[in-house]
Amino acid sequence: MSDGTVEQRERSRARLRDFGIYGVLLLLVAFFGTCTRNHAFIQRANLLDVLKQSSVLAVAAIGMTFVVLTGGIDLAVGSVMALVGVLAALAVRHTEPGTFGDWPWLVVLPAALAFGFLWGGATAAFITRLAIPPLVTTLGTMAVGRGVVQWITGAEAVRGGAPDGDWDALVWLGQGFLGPSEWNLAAPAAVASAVALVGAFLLHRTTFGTYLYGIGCNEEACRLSGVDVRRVKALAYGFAGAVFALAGVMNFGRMGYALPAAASGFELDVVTAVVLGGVSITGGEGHVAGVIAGVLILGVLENGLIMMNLQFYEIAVIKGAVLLAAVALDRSLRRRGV
Amino acid sequence: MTDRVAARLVDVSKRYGGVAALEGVSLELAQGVCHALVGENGAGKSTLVKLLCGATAPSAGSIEILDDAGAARRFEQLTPRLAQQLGVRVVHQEFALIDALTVAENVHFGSEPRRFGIVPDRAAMRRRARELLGELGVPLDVDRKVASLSVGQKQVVEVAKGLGAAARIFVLDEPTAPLTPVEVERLYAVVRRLKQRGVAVLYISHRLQEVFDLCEAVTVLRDGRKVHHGPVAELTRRDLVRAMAGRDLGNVDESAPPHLPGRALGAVRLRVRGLAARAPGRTALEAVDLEVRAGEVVGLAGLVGAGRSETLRAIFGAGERRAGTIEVDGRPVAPRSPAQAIAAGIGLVPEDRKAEGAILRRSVRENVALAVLRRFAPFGVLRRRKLQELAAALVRRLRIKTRSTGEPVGALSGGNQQKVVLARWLATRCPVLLLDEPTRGIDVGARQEIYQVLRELSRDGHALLVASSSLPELLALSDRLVVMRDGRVVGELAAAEATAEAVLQRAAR
Repeated sequence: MSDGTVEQRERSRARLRDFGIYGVLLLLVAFFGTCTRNHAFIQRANLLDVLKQSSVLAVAAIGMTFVVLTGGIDLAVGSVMALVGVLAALAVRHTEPGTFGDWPWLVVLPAALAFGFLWGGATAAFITRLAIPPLVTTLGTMAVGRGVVQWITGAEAVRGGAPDGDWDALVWLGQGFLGPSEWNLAAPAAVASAVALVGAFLLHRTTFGTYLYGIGCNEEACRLSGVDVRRVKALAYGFAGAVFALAGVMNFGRMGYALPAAASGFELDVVTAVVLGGVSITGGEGHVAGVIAGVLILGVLENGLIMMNLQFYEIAVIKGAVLLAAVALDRSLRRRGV
Repeated sequence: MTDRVAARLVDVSKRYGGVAALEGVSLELAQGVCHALVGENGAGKSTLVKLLCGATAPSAGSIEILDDAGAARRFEQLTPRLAQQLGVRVVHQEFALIDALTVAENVHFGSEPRRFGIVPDRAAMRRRARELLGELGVPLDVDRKVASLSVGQKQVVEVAKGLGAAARIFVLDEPTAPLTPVEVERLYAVVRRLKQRGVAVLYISHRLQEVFDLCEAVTVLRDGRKVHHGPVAELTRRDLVRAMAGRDLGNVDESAPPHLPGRALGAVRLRVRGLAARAPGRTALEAVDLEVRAGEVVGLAGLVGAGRSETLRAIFGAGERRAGTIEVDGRPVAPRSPAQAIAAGIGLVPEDRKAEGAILRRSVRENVALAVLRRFAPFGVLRRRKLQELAAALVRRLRIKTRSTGEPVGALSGGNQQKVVLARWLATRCPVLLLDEPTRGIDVGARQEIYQVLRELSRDGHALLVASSSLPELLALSDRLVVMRDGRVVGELAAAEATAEAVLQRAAR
């Protein structure tokens, strides 16, 4: 049927546009590979390091993608991560061995995800029931979350209890390895990949995903077609919240202790990665593969520029410039109808 | 009256990517003459207007306009500012008014009279606005916020805004679409006055009657090319339709659908009793009673603001229903949301296709399946092959012209977009279908095809309730007409006794 071939051609054109961002990523890798001393950047160990260092950002950005697709935003991402990290650390410190059976992480991790989900659901309730814009709502929840975490910790770091084998799983999420450690396959990168797959599945293979794109493009048309817009948004913010919680646990596992100021300002990195990845800030457009590319571009820039001995402020300037350039390129490609 | 040419488009073309929106079109606008521009949607009318007002630049060709001194000046392209300085005024289909400002402020927006060069002279603004509105015969309160005006009143403000600045070329883009007959008359008078003042008028309309009422010359565009040009006096309506469509559609007038032959009607499928509703900025409904039988098409007639859309929305659970009962096939349903209405077997093709109907950036497939998606998704996981089959079947049935079911709806023509919205309800097999302006702004060919589908639906026993501002459409489509005024049902007419006069007598106060 000719329908199929036309559709394939359309799709391949759309792919070219959508994955042009990977071209930018490859160029950056090639640039740093050439310009760093002894080509240190493209050594296997360093590339794996980049993946590892980008993992938490990737997880959070995938969560954020769901929210941005509805035309919203959740600035509380960093606050949720810090709060969940601290709660997890407190759980580790204060539970007696055996309270939650042999594998306490089996209780704590789902509890953390549930907390994030409920947090997101509450955020969505403010947005949909009281019609408060997402930006305003989450400015509020961001401040509340950060305040609460300072309050319960007395603004001091929470260190875990005695190194206890029972809690290995949480530590593994942040700094473990998949398979023998000489393979150097970081567990956080594996977790991020799993979240990416789940995210892509939800977006492209479920009613939830279809509604999400529909709402981002035309909320009223969805409502008039019987879509329960409030519920879909609650699920989107809930999913994002759960994923932010996971990122918070990973952050805690990576460091081995929890800081009340953890992930401060992280929302900017997350939103940058999402936009860089081609997700429309007004909603309805974008996908996980693009967001991963956005995350990796930021990771590569950070790592490569440090290797070239640039200062953090110089790095900030370059990252911002790359964001603007990438978005400008994307816009002009779209305008020309590529 | 003079016959001097005020503006001339010479061989202008406009391409977007590989697609030609206009191809070598020439057009002369003479002073004191009303020139009609007609064509189906996508024929290139809007593009032409954009060239004339400097919103976009032609890919080829040039534009000549008389300047203040009366000398013809030639341009490769215009800018909005330049066009304005040369006296080009456009009253757009979508209003360019600012809701938060008053009538007077809007009329003078961008050219406020000032004192000492900086302070806006409010007294002068209000006086001048009052004069202009008086000239249009519509004495509006110039201190009202535009947000509180009806669509018809906004149109008047838009025209006044154009009059305010000395216009030499006045473009009206579908000016009567939202107007009541009385307001249309008033607009006619304004256009005649403009002509007397020697203004060159370019008049774009889907309503062919207006071309004959008001215009001296006509240009027909089809697929970006000029296919006819000449004085209106030498044309019949049939010639005009044929030129627009590029095929002879028989002796159709602009909106006459094929008559539905008398059928045996079934039991009452939709019964509405004592419906009352109220929503800010919309007509309040009071005690609306309606019945639609299986296989019946009931038309909702009334002037703008009579409450036709509000009635459909209230039945569909999308408005604020205060009181009343709704029954589908004898079962009481009280939809508090569209979702509940859909579950009860009601569907709504909404009035505003782009804002409420189609999801333009998503595929045809997703759009047609939107209301039934869950049926195709056990545990929320889409069965993509089934969805594809559904979409392909509906595309075939409604003859939707699309390259594939994966194409974004925004890439289709207006008529095909409307068919996609209709297909969404065919997919639900809802026994009761509400249609709000089902053929607004779509071309003659697609219109006929939609009538055909409605005819098939009624033959299959669906109950159809159609609201339309086009009386000929309602007269030809409906078995029965319900006339509304100020949120109430004020009359009912069987198809046999329904005439335009009979309807208008009841609809107008």
